[in-house]
Amino acid sequence: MNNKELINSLKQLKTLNDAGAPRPEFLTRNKEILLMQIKNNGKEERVKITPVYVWQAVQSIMPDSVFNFVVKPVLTAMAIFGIVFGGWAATVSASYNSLPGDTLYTVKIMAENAQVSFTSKSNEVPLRAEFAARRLEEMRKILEAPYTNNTEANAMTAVQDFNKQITAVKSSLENFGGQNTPTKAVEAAKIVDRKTEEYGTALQKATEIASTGVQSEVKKATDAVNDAGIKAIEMIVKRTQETDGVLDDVLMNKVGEKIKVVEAKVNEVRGDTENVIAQGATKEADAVLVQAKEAFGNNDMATVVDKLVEAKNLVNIVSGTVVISSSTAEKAPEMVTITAESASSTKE
Amino acid sequence: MQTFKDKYLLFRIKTLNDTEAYGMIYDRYASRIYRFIYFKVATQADAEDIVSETFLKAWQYINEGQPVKNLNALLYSIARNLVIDFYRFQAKKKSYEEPISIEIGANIGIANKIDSKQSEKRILQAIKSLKNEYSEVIVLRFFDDISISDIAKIIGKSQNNTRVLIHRALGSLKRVIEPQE
Repeated sequence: MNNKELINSLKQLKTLNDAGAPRPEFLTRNKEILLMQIKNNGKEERVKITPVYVWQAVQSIMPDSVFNFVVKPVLTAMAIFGIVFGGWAATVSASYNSLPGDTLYTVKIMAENAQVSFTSKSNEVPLRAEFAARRLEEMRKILEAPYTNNTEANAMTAVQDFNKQITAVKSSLENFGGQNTPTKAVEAAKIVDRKTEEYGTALQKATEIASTGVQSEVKKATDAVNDAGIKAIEMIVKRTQETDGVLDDVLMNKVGEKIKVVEAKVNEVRGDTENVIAQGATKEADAVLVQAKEAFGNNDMATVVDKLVEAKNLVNIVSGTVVISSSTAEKAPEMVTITAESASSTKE
Repeated sequence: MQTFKDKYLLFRIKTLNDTEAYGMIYDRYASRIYRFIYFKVATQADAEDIVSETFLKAWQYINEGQPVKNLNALLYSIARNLVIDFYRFQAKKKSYEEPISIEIGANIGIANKIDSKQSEKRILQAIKSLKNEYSEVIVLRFFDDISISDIAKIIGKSQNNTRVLIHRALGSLKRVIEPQE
């Protein structure tokens, strides 16, 4: 007999009950008593899942070598990543209530731009519209706060940023409307239409409390809002008609309101300029508005919105606030020439 | 060697004071610890008492926040110390260096012994009759399949000394079973 035979015999023995197997009833009863005793020793705790808890869990469960050479470096790298980007997120979060003139305001604008960059095309219009509303809210807060040396400059910054944003809203709406189905285009246009009404009210209130310098910027902002509003109405009317949809009374009333808005603007620029050619342009705008009203009387809403856009562009050329679009050049090529001439004559 | 499951259960006990997790540890180890003690004490009742105390002490140790590198080794070490205490205070068991030829019987070949119930009992009796340090390493190594390094930790010796001890234990067991050879 050798050791190998003895070891084999021992290994066979271990499966036998006589080889020190406990009584099952003892195991069960002893477990009950044990658990009862240890439960009396202390309460079970509920632990929040925190980074520290996760770290300890991983450290406890992983083999030391794996934890030290694989998991630890990876978790450390993730922690650094989290701190850097978490810090950025915290900064952005802190900047949410900042106003022009605050240190974090730039961070806020950058974060919004980044948000627009990463958002889908379908969300871009409402997102930009929301950001434009934030600019107006910032302007309101600045104007309503006790006056300081920086109030005017900060209000100017807010309204200028609003102007950029509302121009971007209009541009996004044009792009989105041209690339998507009528239903989606109309949905986006309705958002812009609703928002422009809110902007108009906010700008009106701002005009009442703003200084003269800020008022001129607010005026430009109002023009930009009107442009965006007309664009939205144009899109709603035309894209609805594409699907043989019915234009309801509310929409018709809005179109009528837009005619009045453009008419008021024409009268405003007429009084502002002494330039003969520019005055000719306002007369042209008057004529276009007459056609718009005639079309409105005939319930030809597509023509109405076309004429509105044409008239508004003429007004903008005169007031010097327009970027001449290709459609403007097609519809009123002579006005492009006039604008160039009037610009040079004004300088003289 | 600590298993993944042991580590997880220990973590739950340490962080949540989770008694159910400790119940699972009990289920995994109770039979083995019982057998380890069984070969060291005279009666089943003594073995059962020491098993109960082993798991209670282990819970207290873990709950105090003491580091547990190897749960297997911890439980066997506690059981071993309790057995030592048991004999220190009760002095019930005698250890035998010499074979108990009267009980075990002579002229029985190992291979033939395994086949019969009687032979099995004699071998088990032979293990029980060995010195404590011999019976414990035989149970740990060949019944519970514990590694040399873990046995070394349990009995507090170096790995080389443990190997030598196991070799001597086997020799001693052979002499008990086959005293004439």
